[in-house]
Amino acid sequence: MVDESQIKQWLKDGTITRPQAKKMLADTTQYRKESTSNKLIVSISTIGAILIGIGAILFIASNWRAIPNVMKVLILLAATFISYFLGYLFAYEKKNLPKVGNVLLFLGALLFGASVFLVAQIYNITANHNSLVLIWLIGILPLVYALKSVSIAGLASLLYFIWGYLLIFQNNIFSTILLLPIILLVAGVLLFGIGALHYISDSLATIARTYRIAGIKAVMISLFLLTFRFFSGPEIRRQLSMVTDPTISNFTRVSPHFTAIFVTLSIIAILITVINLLFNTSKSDTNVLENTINLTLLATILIFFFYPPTTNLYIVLFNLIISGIIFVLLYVGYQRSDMKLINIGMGFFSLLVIVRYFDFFWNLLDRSLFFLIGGIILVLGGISLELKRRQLRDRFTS
Amino acid sequence: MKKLFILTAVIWLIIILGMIGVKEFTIRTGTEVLLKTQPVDPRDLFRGDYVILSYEITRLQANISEFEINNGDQVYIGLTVDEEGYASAYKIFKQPPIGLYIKGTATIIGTGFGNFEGTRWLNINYGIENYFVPEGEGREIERAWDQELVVKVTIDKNGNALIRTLYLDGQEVFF
Repeated sequence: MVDESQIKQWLKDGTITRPQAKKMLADTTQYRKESTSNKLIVSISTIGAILIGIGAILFIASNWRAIPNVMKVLILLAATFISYFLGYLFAYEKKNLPKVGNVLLFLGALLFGASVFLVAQIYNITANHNSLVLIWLIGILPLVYALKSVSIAGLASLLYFIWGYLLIFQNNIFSTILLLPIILLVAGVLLFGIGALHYISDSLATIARTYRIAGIKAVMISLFLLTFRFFSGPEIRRQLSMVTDPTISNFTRVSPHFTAIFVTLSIIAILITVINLLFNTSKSDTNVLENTINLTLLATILIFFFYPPTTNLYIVLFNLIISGIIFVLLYVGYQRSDMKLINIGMGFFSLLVIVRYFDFFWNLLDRSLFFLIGGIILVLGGISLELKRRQLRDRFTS
Repeated sequence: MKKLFILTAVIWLIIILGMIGVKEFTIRTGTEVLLKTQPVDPRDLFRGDYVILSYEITRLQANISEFEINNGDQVYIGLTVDEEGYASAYKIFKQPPIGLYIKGTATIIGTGFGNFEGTRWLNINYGIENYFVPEGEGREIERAWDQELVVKVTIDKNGNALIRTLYLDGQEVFF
């Protein structure tokens, strides 16, 4: 959308006449008003949907015995389907309240999850059981493809990661939490690859982008964790050596099931990445770059798993990799005028600077000097990053 | 579009009714046994207060198994029931045995210490470790740590178990 200064410049240059400029200014003002109003509607409806969702979860959590179980299920199912069908009616049948309709459909997806948890509560199914999250995920997947909605695709991505986490780490069944970044990285690359495959059809572009962004965030979180000694220092060797040595058995033993899941996921992720690399389903001009990075990440994490660290080499390596990927995110974000990538890149850059500052200077500098210099760096760095981010955003939107 | 919407609604209904159906199958066709247990009291974000139940058959000596067990393995615990209805484990099987058994997942494999030095122990999850209670009332059960807590469970022919009733010192617990 053009802004006032551009219209005035065109008028001054004689590109447009005064009546045309007047009409364009009026249209611009009207567009801004409608855009603000739409954002307000979506914000209020989303807050409303979230409040209803929280209310439903608290209703279940209070486990109020005054209402019989059958009645509780019926009430929640009725709320789910009413929200779902009203959402459909407003957004697709009558098309009179599309924004509110989409929010109601999102609420329907949340209430469906609440219904699954209610049934689980009634029958005392083990808390946080991974299968409940999987059922929720399977239930909303058809809706993801029917609506192509960012919010529901985002919810599906979140449930995918929660399910994986509970499957592997619940009750320490397969592994200790030390191995979380390893599996998160593979799951993130896999989701990114699955997202790229969705570009095969133009109608799935919204879902593709949501999956890819979720995949990038997961990979970045995982790499960020791996820059810490706790996750990639020599301690992990003790944990990983237990995978290959069956005679060792204690409370921290990593199950062969973890190895099987990890290797299978890695192989699927490699296959999907190779398909994306060869066929460029996303029609991306950075196809070779992104898939080469993914293959490098998968190779590194497999080597890390089977040849655990004896020194701090991996810590240095993961710091270099995350720095490189931050640079790539900023570069690609700038090339494509994509604020989302730039925000992710700048966010992780800031985090990395803060934690490395603490790592390196905590013991070297006098405490007061440490905080003074740190504070100055953070304030100036924050201002400079925010100014740069705004500058880029303004350039992209104009 | 409309068909896909209706299909999604039908899938949701099938899932919810299916979950109820599977559990009702266990209740209606299963065998009822009593299990001795100990409670602790945490909270689930989605489903409120619950009591964690740690049964006598939760922690088993590995020597009642004839095969190597890894974390995450699905196992079948053969049960014997005494005349009062209390069940106890007699052997761990890799495949479902003949007779009464309960299905579980090996979660922690550890080595004992002190008098149990050299003895290997298994922790088994049966999916009946949580009993959901009204908000704040789980602590009452936890406080009664010196009383005998017994749980009546129903186990179906596939080894799936479901909690039916809690007994504190022989009295049924009502909420």
